[in-house]
Amino acid sequence: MLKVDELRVSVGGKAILQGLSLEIRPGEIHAMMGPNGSGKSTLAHVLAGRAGYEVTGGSVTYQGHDLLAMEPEERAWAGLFLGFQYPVEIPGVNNVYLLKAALNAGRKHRGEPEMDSISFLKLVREKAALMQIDDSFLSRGVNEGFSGGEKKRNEILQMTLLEPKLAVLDETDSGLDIDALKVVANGVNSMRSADRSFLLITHYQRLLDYIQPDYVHVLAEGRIVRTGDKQLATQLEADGYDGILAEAASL
Amino acid sequence: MNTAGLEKVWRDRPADWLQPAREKGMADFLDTGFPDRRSEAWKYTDAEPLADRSQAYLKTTPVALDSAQLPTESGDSLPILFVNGRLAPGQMLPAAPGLQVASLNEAPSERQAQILSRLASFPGRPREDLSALNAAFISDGLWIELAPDTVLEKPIEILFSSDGAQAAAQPRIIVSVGADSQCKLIEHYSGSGAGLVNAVTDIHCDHDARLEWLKLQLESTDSLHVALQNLSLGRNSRARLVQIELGSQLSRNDLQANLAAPGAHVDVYGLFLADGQAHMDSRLEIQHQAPNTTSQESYRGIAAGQGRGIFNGKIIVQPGADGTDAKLSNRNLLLSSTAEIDTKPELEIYADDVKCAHGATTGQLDETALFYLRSRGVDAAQARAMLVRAFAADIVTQIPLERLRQQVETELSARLARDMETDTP
Amino acid sequence: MSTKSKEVTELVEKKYQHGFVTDIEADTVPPGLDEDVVRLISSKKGEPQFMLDWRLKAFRHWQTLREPNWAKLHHPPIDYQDISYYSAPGQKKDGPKSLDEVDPKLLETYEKLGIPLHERAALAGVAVDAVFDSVSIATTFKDKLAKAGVIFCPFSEAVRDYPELIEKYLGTVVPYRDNYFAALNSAVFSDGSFVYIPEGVRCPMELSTYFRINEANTGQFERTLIVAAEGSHVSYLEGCTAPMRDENQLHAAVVELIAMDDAEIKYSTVQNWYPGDENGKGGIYNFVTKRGDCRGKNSKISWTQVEAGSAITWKYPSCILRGENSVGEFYSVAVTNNLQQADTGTKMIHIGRNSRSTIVSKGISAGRAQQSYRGLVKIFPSAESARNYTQCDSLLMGKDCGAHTFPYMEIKNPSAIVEHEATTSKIADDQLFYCRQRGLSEEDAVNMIVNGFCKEVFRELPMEFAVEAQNLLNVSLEGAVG
Repeated sequence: MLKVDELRVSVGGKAILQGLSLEIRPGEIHAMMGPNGSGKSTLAHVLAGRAGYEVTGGSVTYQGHDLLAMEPEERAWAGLFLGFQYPVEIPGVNNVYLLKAALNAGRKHRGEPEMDSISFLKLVREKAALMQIDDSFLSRGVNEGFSGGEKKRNEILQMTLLEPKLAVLDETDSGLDIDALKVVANGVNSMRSADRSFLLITHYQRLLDYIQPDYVHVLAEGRIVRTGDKQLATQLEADGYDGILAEAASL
Repeated sequence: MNTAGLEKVWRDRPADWLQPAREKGMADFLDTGFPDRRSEAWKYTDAEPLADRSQAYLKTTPVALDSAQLPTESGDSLPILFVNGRLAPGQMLPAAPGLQVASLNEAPSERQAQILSRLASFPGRPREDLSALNAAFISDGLWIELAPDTVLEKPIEILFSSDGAQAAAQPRIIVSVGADSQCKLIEHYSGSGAGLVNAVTDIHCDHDARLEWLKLQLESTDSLHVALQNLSLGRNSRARLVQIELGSQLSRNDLQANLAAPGAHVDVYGLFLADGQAHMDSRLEIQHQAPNTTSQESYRGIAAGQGRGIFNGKIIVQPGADGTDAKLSNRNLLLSSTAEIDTKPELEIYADDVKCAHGATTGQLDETALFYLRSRGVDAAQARAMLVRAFAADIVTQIPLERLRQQVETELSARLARDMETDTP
Repeated sequence: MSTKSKEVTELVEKKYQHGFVTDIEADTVPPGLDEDVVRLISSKKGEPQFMLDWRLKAFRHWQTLREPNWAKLHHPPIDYQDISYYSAPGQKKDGPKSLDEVDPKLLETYEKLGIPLHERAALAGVAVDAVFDSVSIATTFKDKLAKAGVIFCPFSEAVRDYPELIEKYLGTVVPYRDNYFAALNSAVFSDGSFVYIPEGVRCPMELSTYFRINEANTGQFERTLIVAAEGSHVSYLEGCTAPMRDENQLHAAVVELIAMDDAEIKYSTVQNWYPGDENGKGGIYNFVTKRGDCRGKNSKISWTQVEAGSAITWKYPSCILRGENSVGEFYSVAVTNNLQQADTGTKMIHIGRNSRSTIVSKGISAGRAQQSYRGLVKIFPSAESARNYTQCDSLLMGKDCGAHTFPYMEIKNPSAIVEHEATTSKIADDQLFYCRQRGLSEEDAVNMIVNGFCKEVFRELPMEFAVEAQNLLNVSLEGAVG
C-alpha cells in the first residue's frame, strides 16, 4: 500500500524528517507516536502533498506510484485521505457542498458516474447519524464556528463518505472528550477492512484503547526509533518517552 | 489664501546656516499655499485659523526666554526645554555615552552638512501638511543622534512650552537611532495663551533599533497646534508610539510611518479628547514598503461638548511588500448632541500576499454598564466619567512613564467630570 | 503549491460570452452634442414641453461642470462630441404594438442573451423590459401587471402616458444638478423603465430590465424611476451586456427609487457590460448614479449588485433614509480582472429617527485590475438611534492587482452606533490545500472558496438571478442542497 523509504524532509532549511522508513500493507492499522516536534505532522503533510516541505532525500511509493510526484488532489483521487489536526474554516462554503464536490471529483476520476443530489443527501445523512452530527451542521459553512470536537467529527464524517484506501489521521484524538473520542473511534472501526489501511498519528495512547493497532511506532528526531505492538503504547503511557528515547540514543 | 505677506516676512529675515532648507521649504510652501478643504487630507479641517495666526505671528521672531525654571534632571527623564519654539538658553543638554544632542540654531559647524542633508531628504508633502512652512520658518530644534549599540535608559523628554506670547513656534527635531540601539523619546507640549505651534519631528531608526516615542499634547484651549511626525524604520527595527492629544482649540496631527525594510514593525496607540469647542484632527499613514513588515494601530477618540474629532488612518501596502500584516482599530465615543465624530480608516493595497484589516466604531457608553454603576449608588455624571476613563485607559496605560501617565489621568478626570456635568445626551 | 497565478487567471478570465453584434439597421444620430441634439431626442420621443425644458436646463448646467476626478480611476479623456447620443433599431413609425411586430433579429438577440421575450418561453414570474441601444423594444407581461395596477413600461411611454407622475417624481432623488454624469444623463437620456406600484400592492412578479448596447460609437443613457406608494412592495432586476468592440463606449445611467410609508423596493443589478480585452482595449465606461429615497416611515430600499463587467465602473447606489425606522441595504460583489478598474460603494444618509443601514461589500481583484470601495455613512443630528453596520472584504488574486477601501463615517448624533470592518487578503493556502486534499482541483477549490466569500451577497439576489450571477463569477455553485 504505502512504502516510505529513508525519507528526508526539511522545512525552511531545518531538517525535520531524517531518514524515516515505514511500510503499511493493506488492512493494517499503524499508530505513529512521538513527542512534540518529532516530525509526526510533517509526515502527514508530506504524504498529502502540502506546500512548504522540501523533500531532500528518500522516496514514497503508494500503490506502486511515486506519491511525491502527485498533486494533492491526485493523491486524494488515488484514495489517500488526511484527517487534519487543525481543520480549516472556509466561510460561506457549505459543508455538504464541499462533501458532494469532493465525492464526485473522486468518482469522476475513477470513471464512475456522479452521484445525484438525492442519493447523496441520503448517504450523507446516514453517515452523519453514525458520527452523531446534527443535520444542521451539514448546511453550515465548512468548519465555520465548529467547536474543536465538531471539527474532528466532521473530518471523520468526510472520511467515511470518501472511503479512502489509506487514511492518515493527524492527532484526530487531541482535544476530544471521551464521548467524542468513542464516536471518532467507532467511525474508524466501522471502516476497517482488508483493503483499507490507517496511519493514526497521536500523542497519547488513549485512542488506542478504542482502536486496536497492528503496529505502534515511536518517532523521535525525524526517524522511527522503535516499533512494537499495542504493548509499546501502554509502556509509553506509563513511562513516558524519556526511557525509550534514551534507549534509542544509546544504540 | 494670500501668501504674499508671509513671503515678504520670510525675505526680510536675516539668513542663517539653515538657509538652503528654508529656501526649499518656502518654495514648496508657495507652490501650494495653505491647505484648503478641496484637499482630501483637509476635508474636515479648515486651515484658515492656522493661516491667519501664522501670518500674524510669523512677523516676529520668537524671543528665547531666560527662564528661571530650567528643568533639572528629575530622575525619570533627560529633560530639554523649549519656550515658544526656541531652546531655553542656559541649559545643559543631556549627555550620555553614545548620545549626541545639539541645538539647531547653534549646531556645531561640522554637523551642519549632515543636518541640511537630512532636512533636504524630507521634503514634506505640501498641501497635505504644513511641514514646508515649518522648514521655511524653523524657530529652533534639535539634532539627536544615538550611536549604534547604545541603550539609553532614561527617556529624552522635550518640553515645548509657550508662555502666552504671540509667537509661532516652529520647532524641528531630527533624530537618528543607530543600529541595535534603544531609546525613548517624549515630546511634551504645554503652555498658556493663544500660541501657535507647527512642529515637525523626523526620526530614522537603523536596523534592529528599538524606539519608544510618546507625544503628549496638553496645550491651552486658546492655542493652535499642528504637528507632523515622520518615522522611518530600518530592517528588523521596532517602534512603539503613543500619542495623546488633549489640548488646543484646533489640533492637527499627522503621523507618517514608513516600514522601509524587511522585518520592521510599528505599534501605534492614540487618544484624543475633543471637548469644549475643540477640533481635533488625527491622521496616520502607515506605509508598508518592504516584505514581512507588520503594524498595529489602535486609536481612540472622544468627542463631547461642542467638540469635533476626526480620525483618518491609512494603511498602504506597496507592490512587493508581501507578508505584510497590518491591523488598525479606531473606536470613538460621541457624548453630546452638539459634538461630532468623522472617521475614515483606509486601506490601499498593491500586493497580494497580505493580511490587512481595519475596523472603526462610533457609539456611546454601554447603557448596561451605566445602569450597573448607578444601581450601586454612583451618580450618573460620575458613572459616565468613569466609563469614559475606562475607555481611554487602554491607551493611557501605554504611556511609558508613570509620572506622565498620572498627569494624563488627572487631566482626563478633571475634564471628563466637567464634560459629564454639562453634557446630557 | 500556493495559488498559481496562471490557474487563477484562467478562473477569472473566462471569455466574454455576450460579445456578438446584431446586424440591424439603426436610426442613429451623428456624433456630437449641442442643444439641437437635445431637442432632437426630445422630439423623436414626442415629449411634452416640460420634459424638453428640463433637458435643456440640465444640458446648460452640464456645460458648466467638469468631469469629476476624485475616484481612483484612470482613463483617457472622454470626447463627448465623438459620441452618438441616440440610436434606435429601425422600426415602424409608432413602434411595435406587440411582440409579433418586433424585428425577429431583435428577438433572436435577446434569445441568445438568455432573455426570451415571448411570454410562453419567458422566465416564469419575471416581467422584462428590453432596452436596445436608446429605446425599449418590448415589455412582457404588461397585461398581467396592469391587472394588479402596476405600471411597468418604457420611460418614453411613461412620459407620454403618465406625464403627471413623471413631472411629480423625476429628478426629485437625483436632481439634474447632482453631478456631471447625472446632468449629462438628464439632458440626453433616451429610454429606460418606469415603475409605479400603487398603494398596498405587492407586485405579483419580479420586474426586470435588460439593457443592451449594440451600435458602435453610441452612448447609452437610460433613466429608471421606480415609485413604490404606501405599503407597496416590488423587486426589480437589471441586466446589461454589450458587444466586444475595440473602442470604449460610455454608459451613464441614472436610477431613482422612491419608497413611501411602509413601502419596500429591492433593486438588483447583474452588470456584465463588455469589460475590454486582456490588454485593456475596449470596454464600457460605466458612470452611474443610483439613489433611493426612503421618504416614508418604515420604508426600505435594498440594493444588491454584482459588478463583473465594464472597463471602468463608477457607481455608488445610495439610500437617503429620511423616514422614521427606514432601512437601507447595500450588498455588492465586484470582480475586476485584467485592466478593469472599479470605484464603487454606497452612501447611507441617515436623517430619520431609528433609521438603519447595512453594507456588505465583497471585492475580488485579479490580473492588473484596481478596485476601490468608497462609502459614506452620514448620521444627521436628527437621526436619533440610527444604526449602521458595514463589512468590506477584498480578495486579491495576483501580485499586480490592487484593492482599496475608503470608507467615510460622519456622525452627529450621540445615540447612533456606526460600525465598520474591513479585511483584505488572498485566498489562504491552507483553505486551498484542504479542498485539494479532499480531491478538488485547484481551480474548483478556488471557485468554491470565492463563491463562499461572496455568499452573503448572492443570497440577497432573487432566486432566478442568483445562478446567473454565480456563473458570471465562473464559480460552479452549491446545488439544491443546503
